[in-house]
Amino acid sequence: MVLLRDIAHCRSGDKGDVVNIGVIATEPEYYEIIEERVTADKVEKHFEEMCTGPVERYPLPNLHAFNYVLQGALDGGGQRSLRIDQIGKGYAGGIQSIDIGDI
Amino acid sequence: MPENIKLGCAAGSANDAKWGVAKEMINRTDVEYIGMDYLAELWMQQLSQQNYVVEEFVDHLREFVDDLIDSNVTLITNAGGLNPERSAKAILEELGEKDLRIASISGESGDYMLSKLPDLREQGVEFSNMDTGEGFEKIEDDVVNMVTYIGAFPIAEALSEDVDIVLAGRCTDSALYVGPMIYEFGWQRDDVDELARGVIAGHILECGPHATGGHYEYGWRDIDYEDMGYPLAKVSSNGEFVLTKHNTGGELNLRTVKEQLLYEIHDPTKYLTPDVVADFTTISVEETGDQEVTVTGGTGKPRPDTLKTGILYEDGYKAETSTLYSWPDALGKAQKHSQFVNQECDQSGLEQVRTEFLGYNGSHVPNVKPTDLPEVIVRFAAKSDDPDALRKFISKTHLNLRAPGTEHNTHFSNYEPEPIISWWPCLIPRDAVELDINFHTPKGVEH
Repeated sequence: MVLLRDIAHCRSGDKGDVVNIGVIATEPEYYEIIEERVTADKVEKHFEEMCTGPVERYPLPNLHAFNYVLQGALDGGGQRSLRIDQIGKGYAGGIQSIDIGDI
Repeated sequence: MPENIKLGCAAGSANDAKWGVAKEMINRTDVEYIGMDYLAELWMQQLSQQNYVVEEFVDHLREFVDDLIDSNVTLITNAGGLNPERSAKAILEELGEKDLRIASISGESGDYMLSKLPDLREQGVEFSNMDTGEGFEKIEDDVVNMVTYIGAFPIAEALSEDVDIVLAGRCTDSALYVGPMIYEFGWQRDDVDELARGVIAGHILECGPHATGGHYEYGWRDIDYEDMGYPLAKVSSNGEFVLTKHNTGGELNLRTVKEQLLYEIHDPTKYLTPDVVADFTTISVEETGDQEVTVTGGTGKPRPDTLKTGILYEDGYKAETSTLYSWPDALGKAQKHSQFVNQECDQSGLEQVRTEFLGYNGSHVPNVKPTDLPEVIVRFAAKSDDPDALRKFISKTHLNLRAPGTEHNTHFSNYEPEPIISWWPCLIPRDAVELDINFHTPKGVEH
């Protein structure tokens, strides 16, 4: 089983109730695998218990990266959020557990 | 016009400013400008309950103010918080008779903006929530402050006088760095590609060690935190730039820079700032040496007609508490506890209750779920307009002698309800903000 963590590194941050996760292919050839297998829908389903959605994905081919933007990801966001991870830094770790199948 | 200028970031947040990096940069590098960021959405909320002044900044500045005065370095910071003009006066009073000249940029927040709110409403500005679409009526009676993000041109204007510090309030973080570029290179509003590259440089610099191995998912094992290098940029007059770092620790490479490029952005082809809309997909990023990354290209489009504004409003109270359970069956015990709390405890008067199992699901890793955990903390957090309802609920969540092996008051528990100041993002017309730049010395103020 190959997880996203084996082919990408990630960083997440917040703006209000929105979390974005930057997903960067560790090698250029992994970019297309991420493009094909880590769709916005897949990420939305992955975080369905954490995030109301929707999730949008934006490509940055020049960086071999994708930006995932998750709406409704922090129970209202910032100080209002009752989460221990109220600014969503943990999402960058969470996305890496996506199973991407064989490569 | 210079061929290039050298800038460094000495603090990426108020909590990051305590390490003394500004002093190191002034004395050990050839930077001409240093930026220090003190504000974040969460910090604006805290500031709204304080004195409007980022008090920590005075303590940090005290440590390097003499070095700053003796150098040719200019410090640019948003530590003016919710009232830069008042903050500038407070800083000079605190520091005594220093030969220090501070430019304050005020007008985008605090009483300045609040006094305009009714007129703007009357003119038809909606203030609807730009994330959720909700109407402003929802929070109208609970507003405590408002802040509008301003850009880099006012900073450039402040630099045209010979100052040691430019003290802004809620400018965009990247404006701390774009301001000097505009001033030194004479960029105009329609130099959109140059401005966009400047914004991208500022975006990489603004979080300090975030670009140099901090918060680094890929190579965290090898990072030396002790002598952490903070990012430096040598920016050319066309906005392209070379990144390095100021100290031996940390790491600056393609991966650390890419992670920071993607940090807290939305559509990378339309990164909105008050000065330009930057496209992150047209840059080229290359490692050009050990601990050196060069960024070329980058394009921009004209600035938006609106400015992002955050309205701070009173939003009830929250309280939290937690209980540690040990192996064996740590998760099972914690789950039984949460079942009791969620089914049997009086939750009347509460708007929302959240249960988390720390050590199991506190940081959102859906596909990793071990069950035989050595320990688990069950954490309850609740929100209400009624602090007494919260106190009553929290007290009931403590099972004390009724449950196996519990330690109900883990150290980070906060039983006492705390007021919530929430953040309401919206857009306003840009001409609603009229800024006021003042120059302060121990002798007085020039307008």
